[in-house]
Amino acid sequence: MSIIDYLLIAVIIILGILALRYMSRQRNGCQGCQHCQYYDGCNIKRKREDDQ
Amino acid sequence: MIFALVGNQNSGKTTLFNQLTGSNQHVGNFPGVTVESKTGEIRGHKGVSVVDLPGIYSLSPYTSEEIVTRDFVMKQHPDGIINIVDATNIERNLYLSIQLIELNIPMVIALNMMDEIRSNAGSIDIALMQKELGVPIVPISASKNEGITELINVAVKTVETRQYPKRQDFCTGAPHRTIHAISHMIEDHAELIRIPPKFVATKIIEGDQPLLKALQLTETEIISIENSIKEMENSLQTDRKAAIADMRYLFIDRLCSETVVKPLESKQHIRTEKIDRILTNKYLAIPIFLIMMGIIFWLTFGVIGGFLSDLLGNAITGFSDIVKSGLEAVRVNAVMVSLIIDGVFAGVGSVLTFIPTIVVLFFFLSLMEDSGYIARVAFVMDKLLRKIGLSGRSFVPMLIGFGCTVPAIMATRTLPSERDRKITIFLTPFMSCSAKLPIYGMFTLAFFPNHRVWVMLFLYLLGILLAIISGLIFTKTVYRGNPAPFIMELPNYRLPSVKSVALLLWDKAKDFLTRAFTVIFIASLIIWVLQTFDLRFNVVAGSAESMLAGIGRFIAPVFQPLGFSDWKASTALITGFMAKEAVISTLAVLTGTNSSNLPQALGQIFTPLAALSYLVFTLIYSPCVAAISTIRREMHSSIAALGVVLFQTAAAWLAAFVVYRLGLLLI
Amino acid sequence: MTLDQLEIGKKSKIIAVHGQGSLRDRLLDMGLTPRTEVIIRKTAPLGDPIELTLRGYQLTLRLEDAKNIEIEDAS
Repeated sequence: MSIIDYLLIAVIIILGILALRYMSRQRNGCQGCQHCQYYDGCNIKRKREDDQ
Repeated sequence: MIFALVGNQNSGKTTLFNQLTGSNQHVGNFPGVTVESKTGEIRGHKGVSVVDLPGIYSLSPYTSEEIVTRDFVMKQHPDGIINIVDATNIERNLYLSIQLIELNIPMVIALNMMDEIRSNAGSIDIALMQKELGVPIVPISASKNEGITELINVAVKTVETRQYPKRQDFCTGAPHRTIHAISHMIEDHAELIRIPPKFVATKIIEGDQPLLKALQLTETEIISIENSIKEMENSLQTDRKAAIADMRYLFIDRLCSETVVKPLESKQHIRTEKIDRILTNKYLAIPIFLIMMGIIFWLTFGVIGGFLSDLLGNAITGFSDIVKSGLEAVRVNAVMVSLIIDGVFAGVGSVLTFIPTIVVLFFFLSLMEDSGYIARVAFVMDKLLRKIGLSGRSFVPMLIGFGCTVPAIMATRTLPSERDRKITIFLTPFMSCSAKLPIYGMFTLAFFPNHRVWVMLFLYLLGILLAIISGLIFTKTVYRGNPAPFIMELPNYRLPSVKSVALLLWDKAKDFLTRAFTVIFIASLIIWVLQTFDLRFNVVAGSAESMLAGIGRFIAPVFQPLGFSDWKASTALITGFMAKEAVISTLAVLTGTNSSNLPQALGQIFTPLAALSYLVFTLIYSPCVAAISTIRREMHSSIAALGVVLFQTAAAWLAAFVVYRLGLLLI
Repeated sequence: MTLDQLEIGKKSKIIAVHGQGSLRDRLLDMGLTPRTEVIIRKTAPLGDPIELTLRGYQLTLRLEDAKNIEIEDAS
């Protein structure tokens, strides 16, 4: 195994983790992330503000 | 600032939504809303977003669409409502509007299709109607992009200046007294759930159980409410629901007689009647429909989609070859090359090639849907589907199932009842999808070269027959309930808007791409690992020693009674679970052959009767991973998806068993 | 008489919608209230459902459900 093999393995593992992360986000739906571009109009934000 | 976009079905709601937001849309999950609803930022207004809610006719809690819209408007408290009203169908559209007004949320009415009213010599006195309803009205034409800017300005201003509807009272006579009496009784309770008492009172009279529960009234309060409703029923000589509906329509009829000059029979309607004279003609309707579907399938899976898919497939293969030689040139480990080429590229690539087919299929479907033809198909086919406890609307998804189960299951979203939707999703996988064609092709060539067409026809019909039987079983047991009533509007034929179609296609393509690079990517990696290593994670020389082959050998005895117990056959079934085409490619790899001598190799694994049994099994057994993940997402339930897998596989085993045993008796 | 007996092309007025449950509620919501004018446009190729016009739009429903809709005699 040369260095390029290890690099490729690393790339594939990172891609796999990214894909899994994306899938879990899709499954759990919108979480009201504060950095989301729709946060201004987000219902979860309003709920948070209402609770305060 | 959040607006809820509410309106009847076929009122041009989606077109307006697209005009308001452009491509700036995303599917959001809102708390309390289980059905996905689209959100978008209004063009040129940062921080102002609009939520596209399902098309509904009333705010009663009877269908899932109504419940979604109700819950959103009543529980999420949007800052404003944009109510789209089809001006050519104003009476029925206003029925929803006056219920929305009673919610006392800043609201604007977008009076759509005003261009059609004008061009047919009709008119609407907007100033007077505005005064009578107490909310601003903006005439627009969503499809021609007229009046949209003004609509946005008025809507934003209405919310900014906190302009609540000026009128709350649309009632007269006996219902009027009862509504007032009840709204006084429940005032405190209604304020607790932040819904106007007048709205609550009217809904309670209509028999709205969820709302009555939410109020948490005392026993005595409920009894006295019931008494005053009974009193109203006695004095009107009618029941509560009819009394309220009649009251609302009486108000609307009076309002329209003052403000609306109805156009003569409109051009659009005359055109619709002319088209319908052919498309729903007693003798022509069904043949035309069949021919049309034939052409769509031919174009989708043959000419356009097939061609583009082949092109894309070749491009991907070419690219994969270049990458492969590149990797080999820099002396990358052979196993790594195999991972990238045989694992990732082959797996993701085989799914990517389906994108053109999916896009083309959805292009035709959206044309059928947006033009109004789908409603006619449901009208024509209803009687046939009722025999298995479904309604005409389930026909279209099932038809798409012959192409691909994935878009077919997505198409069930248009069904109005959850029950029908679930049954339709369960039955769709019985429609033999196009990915199984290579299997049929190869096996019939190897075993029944003189009867190929008959064997294929037998398989397709067997799938339909089993769907009918399963439908009967489902509707007689699990989903007994009443079939959804079939009441459906037949809208005028309209030219679909280019923008809506384009946005929809982009949406579908994006959806599919995401899946290819997530689910399929991971699945390809797993399969590659299974077929490359043995249990001690040593790289195997031939796939016969791999873990995958091990699993194949392990389950092979299950298929003994079906006539095929060779481990290669069962291993191919496992990879077919990833994608049906993979059955053939796996058999080729495992037998060490290529497509030209695969038929002979198959002859050594199967007897002709076992081959037929194998075909029946592949026809029905578990849908592929892509279809299962779609089922899971659409039904919001992993258990349901697992149920489909088990049910289909059990049905496949039984059917193949019957075919094989019957065959043995006959021969 | 009831709506399923109305001849194609003949006009009539609704007297009442009988029956119960969500089907009836839906019919009332769709505007099938007393005194509303209805015309049967056609029946589907297989004889059921029917297409009718009311309040300026087209609606389709099954014959079985049309039996619950009482109309004035067309004569």
